[in-house]
Amino acid sequence: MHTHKPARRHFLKLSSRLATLGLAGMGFGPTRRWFVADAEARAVATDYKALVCIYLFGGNDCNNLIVPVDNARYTQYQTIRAGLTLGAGNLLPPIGDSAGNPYALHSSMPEVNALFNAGRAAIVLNTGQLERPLTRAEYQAGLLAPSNLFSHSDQQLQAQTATSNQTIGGWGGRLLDAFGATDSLAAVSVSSPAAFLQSGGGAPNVIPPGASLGLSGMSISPASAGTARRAAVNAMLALDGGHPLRTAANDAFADGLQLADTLANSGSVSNLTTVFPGTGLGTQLREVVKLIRLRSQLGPGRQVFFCSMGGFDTHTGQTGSHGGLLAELSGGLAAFYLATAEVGLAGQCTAFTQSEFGRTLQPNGSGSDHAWGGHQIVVGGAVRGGIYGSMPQFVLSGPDDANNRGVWIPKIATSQFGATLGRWFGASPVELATAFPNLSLFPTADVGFML
Amino acid sequence: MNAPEIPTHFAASRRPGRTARGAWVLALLTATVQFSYVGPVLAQGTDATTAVHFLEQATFGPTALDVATVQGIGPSAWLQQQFDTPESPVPDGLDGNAVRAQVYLNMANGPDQLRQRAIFALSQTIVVSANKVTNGPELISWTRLLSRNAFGNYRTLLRDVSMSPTMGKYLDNVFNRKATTTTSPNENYARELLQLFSLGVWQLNNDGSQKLDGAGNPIPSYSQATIANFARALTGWTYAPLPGATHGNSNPENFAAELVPTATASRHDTDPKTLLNGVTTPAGLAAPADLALVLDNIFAHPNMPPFVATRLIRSLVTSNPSPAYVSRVSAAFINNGAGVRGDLATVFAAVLLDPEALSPDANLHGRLKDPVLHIIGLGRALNAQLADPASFQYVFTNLSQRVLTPATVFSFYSPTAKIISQPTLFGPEFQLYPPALAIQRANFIYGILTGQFGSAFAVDMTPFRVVAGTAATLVDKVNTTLMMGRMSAPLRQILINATNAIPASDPNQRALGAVYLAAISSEYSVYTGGTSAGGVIPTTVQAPTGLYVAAVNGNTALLRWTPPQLGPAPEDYVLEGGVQTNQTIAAMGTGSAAPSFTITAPNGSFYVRMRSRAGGQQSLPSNEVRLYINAPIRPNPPTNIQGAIKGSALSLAWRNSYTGGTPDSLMLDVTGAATASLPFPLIESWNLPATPQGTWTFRLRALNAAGASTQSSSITLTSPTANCALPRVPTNFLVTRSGNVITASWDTPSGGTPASGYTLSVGGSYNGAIPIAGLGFTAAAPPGTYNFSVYAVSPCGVGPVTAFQTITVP
Repeated sequence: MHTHKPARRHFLKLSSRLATLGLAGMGFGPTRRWFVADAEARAVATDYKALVCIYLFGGNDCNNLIVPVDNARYTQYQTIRAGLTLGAGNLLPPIGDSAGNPYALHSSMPEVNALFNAGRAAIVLNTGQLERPLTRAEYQAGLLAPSNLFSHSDQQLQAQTATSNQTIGGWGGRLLDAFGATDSLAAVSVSSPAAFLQSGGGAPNVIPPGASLGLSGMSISPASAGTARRAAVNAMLALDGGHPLRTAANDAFADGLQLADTLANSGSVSNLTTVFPGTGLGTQLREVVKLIRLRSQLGPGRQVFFCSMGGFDTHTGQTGSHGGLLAELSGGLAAFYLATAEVGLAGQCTAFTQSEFGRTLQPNGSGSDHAWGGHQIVVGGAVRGGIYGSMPQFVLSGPDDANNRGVWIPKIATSQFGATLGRWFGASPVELATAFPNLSLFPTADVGFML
Repeated sequence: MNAPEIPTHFAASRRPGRTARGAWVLALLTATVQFSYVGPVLAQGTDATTAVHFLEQATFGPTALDVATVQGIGPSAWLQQQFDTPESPVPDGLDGNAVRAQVYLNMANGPDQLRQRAIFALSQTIVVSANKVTNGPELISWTRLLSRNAFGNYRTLLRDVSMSPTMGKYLDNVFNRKATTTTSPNENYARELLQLFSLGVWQLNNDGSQKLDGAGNPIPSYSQATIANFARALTGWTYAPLPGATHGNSNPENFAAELVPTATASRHDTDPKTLLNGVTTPAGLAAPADLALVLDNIFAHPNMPPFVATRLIRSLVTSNPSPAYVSRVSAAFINNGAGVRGDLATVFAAVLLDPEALSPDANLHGRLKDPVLHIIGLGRALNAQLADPASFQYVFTNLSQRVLTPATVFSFYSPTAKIISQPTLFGPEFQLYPPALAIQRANFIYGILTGQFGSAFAVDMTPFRVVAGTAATLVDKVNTTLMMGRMSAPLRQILINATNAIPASDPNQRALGAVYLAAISSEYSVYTGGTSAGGVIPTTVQAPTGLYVAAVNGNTALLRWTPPQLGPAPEDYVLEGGVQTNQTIAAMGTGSAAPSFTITAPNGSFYVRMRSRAGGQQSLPSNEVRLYINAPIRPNPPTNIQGAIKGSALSLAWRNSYTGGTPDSLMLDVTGAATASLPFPLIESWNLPATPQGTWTFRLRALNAAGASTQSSSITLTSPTANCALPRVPTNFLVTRSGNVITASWDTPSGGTPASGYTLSVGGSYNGAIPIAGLGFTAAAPPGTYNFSVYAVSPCGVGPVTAFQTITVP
């Protein structure tokens, strides 16, 4: 492992050389303040860290994820939510924001509640896709709203790319680019292929939980025949007949072989003692922790993962289904945190949720429709626990409503949310500006939920 | 070919479950003119290559029998046969898993291969998923719907889809009702009907390209208001009442009959609705009448033909069709030759009989096979016994293509996805082919060929085993069966070499290896058309590959490499090397055909390469590697250098490289108005608050005991002003409230460039940035929660922002 904390000796040597060269006077001389501070800020770039995106396909109804429970706002909530209202029996004991305002999480999320109380979970309110800060008046005047709002496919792409320009890849992939991390374990989906992981740097991988990654049929007798068969595979991967689709297919296959070789060389690891729930998300997160452990043992580096759950498109029957979904999410997050602690990496791994949009506060009957801003959960040993951002005013056609059904205009852009994680990940301000092209249009690049 | 019959009552021949054969034949005759078909398309006999290629696109994989049939009667007559072939059944009474199995078996074994391929294409355009509609009755009625409409009219298909209880459940239109005081209509089906099933989000030309406005931007097909209007028009539906039950507004699930209007007519919104292209529905229409107007409105939209044409072409033929090809298929959609719009039989014929499909000349033609196409095609080519797939459905799940169960309403992959490494090209199926899944797919094939799935997927390897004694005969057998005669010469030689490495006494392993390698090659996983997959065998000795230093022990080094797989076999190899790249100071023969060599070298660092030697000729060199004998290794230069100058504050960032020798320190080379080289420790960014005016170019070198690396790539930045530093953060920021009056105050930043003013940034119930000259702000505010922060402004730019302070006005 490379550690590059600048020793004082370095600094002194540097100063004297600059003096010798006569350069200090022309402005290239570093002063102690910025040099030391900056170098220390960069030193973490030589350790290991992982970001884990848990994507909630369908658009999570965040209005029932966390509810303000002061009298005035709960009454507003109850009036508009009607049949979807969470009563006292469906809410956990109140938690507070930094100003002491009371909120309560959905009763299906006791694990997240416990992580919150331990200071290991943050709730980020009303975040979503924005081109720039936007008011209701501006939105209704047609100013610079994200394109194709409320469309699953478009908003899934925008949530994952943090831009309407979908040619530059996802923000997870772009953060990896800042570290030049292009190995086959840098960007891994344990679910479906994801735009979030794509970038110019390297092809993201998809690893089904529990799958064996080595190529079958390569160990045969005699060993020389196995060697020849593997040589034949390598030679086949150089044959493409000049056809770009075959080149791409060969590239994918060759990357898969490289990944298997990397893992084969990393040795075996003991089983985790943390018990993961037997849910889809639990199985995915167990695979993630396994890959985190393998990769972290190979030395410094960065990994970004993509997990997912489906079923959040609760147009109907929401009361019956939403609690179960949140329970799966909550149980998975808790197991993830405990497992990263078990392998000694809790402070180096952060999991967070994303979803294409929140849902209308006003029901459509037994469900709710596509809306805009939503609340996200962040969990990890480096999370500064708390409630961030502001809860929208529960007023139909009010200042936070894009139209008239409780469609919240986000107050924290996906870019700001991602840049807060990216800053912790170790990206410099310049790199963050590259990863999130519209970041400079917002008042802060750091929402504050990471240490 | 027999003279096609020309029916006089083609419209009357149309009935559910059977194609309008007459209309199609007439269309084809018209198409002879319209599409300029020539030669092989309508000729009776067709060469084997064209037949194989055609069947790759029209079926779940060619069989020897299919190829012979198409060779005999030609593609167009084969299409006619297929249009007339009875539908493969999906029997009553199956549960969800059994329906999934039946659909798979119909794909694999159904005599109605074209219909099965058409269903597969349509099911990825008009999508339901068994992850929501899980039970047998829902999936049975859906599968039958697609099957009976596959060669019907797209308008009828959309009508049946809109009335389908399965779709009603999947996209929630079944209980969609008129707005009440507390609810609005459900927009789910309205949106996907427009976006995914018919029009897409951008307006299209007939050739599939986007229409552009005067500023060169694409034009949306519809707005959120359009969706809301369509959702209103689609209100007022429920399941059909179960036999003997009373009809109500929320009837229980019933997948045996189409949706019906609710018992209470007022569940349907009867006010006028504004549809697309200026059409408004009249007031007072009932739900069925409004649905008919909605479908007419969509069906008449100019996006419909190119939208459907592009999706079907991508699914069946090629990921990157030419605009002209899309135009031709759009034209067939617009008019089947008998004045009928949306005739799918004609559209499928236009897709498959187009010159670009049958005789592709472009190097871009083709597509990566989906997992289902790859695996089923393998079984069909090898004449495998394909039975209940229950024992390996999980593998298709792992490969991201569980039958009938796409992850989302966008199906298994986006039809508009591009290839990551080649972003100008479409390659939707590559979304299911990332590195680990490419290997998983190969391992699935290995499991199949080794009999892992027993009678569920049984391949008889006997025909290969009996000829395995002679490598060339075995490989030629693989070529004529699996590859249908299109194996390239280089692949043939590679497979012969790999076969010969296995003793002839092991015919099982020889047969398995040859079939396995061919089945996982990109010649098989991608279908590209053409007479062979391309490539020629070199006649001269080829370079070795993969040279690496396996071990260094004192002054002795062991080198290993991979022999060339093509061309004459090397008799021995020649090692050459020097102290600079591509330099040869010394060379020596290895004297052996073995791919390894031990040398003794003096202390130092060297560049070495290996050449093959045969028949007195030498090959080109292999890859070059560094050989370090008791010598330190020079580092590689830093990468990813980035930077910016804001005001006059410079920020540089880069990544140190550890791929060569480990760096000890850095040197920043600055050129511009002055030239300097600044030594640094191993940091990865550098900030300078005040950069001298001028344009500067920065490069980095990494240093260690072995010396300096080459220079990194450069970045050039301009500092517009002299010593213009940004202001620092304001101090003592405080926000208080008295009643509804909010007061914010702060002090000047501590040190740094003086602020010329401040900006108060407000979020929460109000969003805005308020410029302020002084050190405070007071205003009355409406009820709400506000986040305040403040930053200093100077002529150079703005400084950092304070932490938020949140105030709630009750």
